[in-house]
Amino acid sequence: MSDRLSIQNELKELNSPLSGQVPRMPYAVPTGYFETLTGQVLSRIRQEEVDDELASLAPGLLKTSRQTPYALPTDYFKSVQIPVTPSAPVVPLFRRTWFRYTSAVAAMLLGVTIWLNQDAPSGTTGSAGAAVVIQYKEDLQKLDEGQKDLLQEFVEAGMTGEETAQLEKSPALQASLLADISEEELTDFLEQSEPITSSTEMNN
Amino acid sequence: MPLQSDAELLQAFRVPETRESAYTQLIRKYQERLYWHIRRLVVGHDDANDVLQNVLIRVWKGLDGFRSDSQLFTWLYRIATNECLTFLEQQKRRLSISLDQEGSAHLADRVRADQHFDADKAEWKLQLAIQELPEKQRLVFTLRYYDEMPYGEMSQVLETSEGALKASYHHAVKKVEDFLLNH
Repeated sequence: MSDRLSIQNELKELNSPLSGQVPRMPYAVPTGYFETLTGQVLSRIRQEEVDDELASLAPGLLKTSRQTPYALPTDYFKSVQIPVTPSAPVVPLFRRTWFRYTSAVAAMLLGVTIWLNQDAPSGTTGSAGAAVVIQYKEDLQKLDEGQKDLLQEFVEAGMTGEETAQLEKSPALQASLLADISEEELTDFLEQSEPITSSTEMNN
Repeated sequence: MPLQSDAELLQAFRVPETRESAYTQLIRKYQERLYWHIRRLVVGHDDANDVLQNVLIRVWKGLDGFRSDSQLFTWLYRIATNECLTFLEQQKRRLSISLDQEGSAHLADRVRADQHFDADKAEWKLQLAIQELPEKQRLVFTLRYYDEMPYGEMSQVLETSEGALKASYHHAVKKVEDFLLNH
């Protein structure tokens, strides 16, 4: 027998007018009371913990008002407007110009090394070159699709191993290569390279 | 996080990292039942809120020492009941009321002062009748009639024998009946 039924039977036996009635509480509770109760209680608990700690450390401080005595201009918080500065655009690492050039140069140097080793007489560095090619192919296979896309992007930047190899040899070629790069891109590259230079200097 | 059993909540409460979350769940689980138990005894919402917050703080401080000899729910009711009785006692002293009957009259006045009070409605008449009861009978009646508490559990909450509780309840029901017939 359920508790409710048992209570109803009990009331029936006592011939009470409450028998057969559903208990209802007429009192009202403020809206949202039960949603905020936990927060209020936890806040009181934290305050009591701070008070207890203070009572053991410096009981005299408990009697001191915790109100900050500094005055504020009237309606300060209503009138204050915090200027919102536009946040700097976030450029992914592989989209940064300096990173693209550095990566392209590294990839081209690797390509030139492989090419030089392939042309070497057989029995000398040829076998070493073949080993590098095999290693290179293996490394390529290990790349995931995302990394392959990035590599493709570097290649599409318009530079080849040949250009890089000749870059240091011919100032004229260097000038012609740089002619394809806008002033803005060069400035951007130099600006973005600054921290690296500084840190290199610091390390040195 | 879903509601857990009392045992799981108690276990989580004893771990510092999950203490607050377990306590929050515990409050959410029992807050309404405790609130109404308190509200029926102290009548006003503000007083009920004060008493309930004191109860919940006592629970926070005492839960580590709860040894599961009784049900958690019974333990919570015992704390709530004791806190209510202390509050009513303090209120009587503050209002210089010494007799039980006068204290009841004061609570009946609080019922009438409620903004939703309607003397013609049965549920409000019943509240007035309950406030006319002596303190112990009021407790037994509300725990049985509204909270549907078995005598065995009530015996643990009020630390009184089941036989005495049954007798109290029967007296209370008769007095309520008289009140309803005559008002």
